[in-house]
Amino acid sequence: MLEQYLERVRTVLDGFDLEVEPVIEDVRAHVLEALAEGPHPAGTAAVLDTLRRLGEPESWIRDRERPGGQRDASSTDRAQIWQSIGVFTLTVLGIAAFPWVGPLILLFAWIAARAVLAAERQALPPKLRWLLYPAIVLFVGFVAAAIALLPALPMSEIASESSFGSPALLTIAGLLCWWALLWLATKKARPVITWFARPLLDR
Amino acid sequence: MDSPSRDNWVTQLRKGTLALAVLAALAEERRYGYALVRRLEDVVGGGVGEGTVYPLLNRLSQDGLVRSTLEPSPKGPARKYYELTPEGHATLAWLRSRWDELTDGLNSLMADDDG
Repeated sequence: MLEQYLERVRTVLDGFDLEVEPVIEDVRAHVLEALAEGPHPAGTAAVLDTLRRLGEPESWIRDRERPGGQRDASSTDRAQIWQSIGVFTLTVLGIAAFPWVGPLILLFAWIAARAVLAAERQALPPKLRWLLYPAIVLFVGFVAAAIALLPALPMSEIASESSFGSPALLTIAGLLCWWALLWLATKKARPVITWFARPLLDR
Repeated sequence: MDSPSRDNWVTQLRKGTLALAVLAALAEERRYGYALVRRLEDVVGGGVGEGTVYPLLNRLSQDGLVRSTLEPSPKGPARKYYELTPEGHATLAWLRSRWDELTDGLNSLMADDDG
């Protein structure tokens, strides 16, 4: 329960100009101090009450401006506009150059989109964010499809040389096993996948 | 009677003064996170999530207004104590004078309204 809450804190704070891990450790220490004050061992109700008092992590930083002056969320400067248009242009070029250098261009577009969102997330107007999301959707989709389908090539070669049943059925069976393995791996490696697909999985 | 929107006004007021309250509480004495939250609860009251303090402390730390040191705790894991830096003390003094100006101005406005 506590770890789930802390993971939520991590997701919410990511993208803000904060050192996330020290905040997580502060919140963990707060919970342990609060529970140490109560009866032992601490029950689920005590943990829930402590987390309730800490509040929704989203509310901790909502509408908050950096003391000393971060840009106002409603202001749009030229750098933001040019960065967003640049990323969108890279995305279009990546699609146009597919399948040759397109994936490489999409990789650059994905990195640029992630960098702009990480640096500007608070201040970036939603209309500009929508110029960045296509790069992330396309690159994540491309990588996911490649991971899911590329093993089909060697599998079909092995299946065609095999004497067991139809090569097509063997390839499909191999792919199904591969997808089952991927599904198990994604359950274990959820933080990695969440990081890779951010900001799409942030909400 | 308090309505939800009035509660929200109070919450926003408390959030707006939280940075000043944190600096002032740390000027009283250095404190670890949980003790700081308890002190703020005594002064500022509820309504603001207790966790709000931690991202704020991190920002104040990044801005060089507070610093932290880990010290052993009699109750368990080491505690991270926060204290004001010289720049934090100077910022608090500056904010305090702005606060006095603001409250004087607001009080005079509200006194006019009472009349």
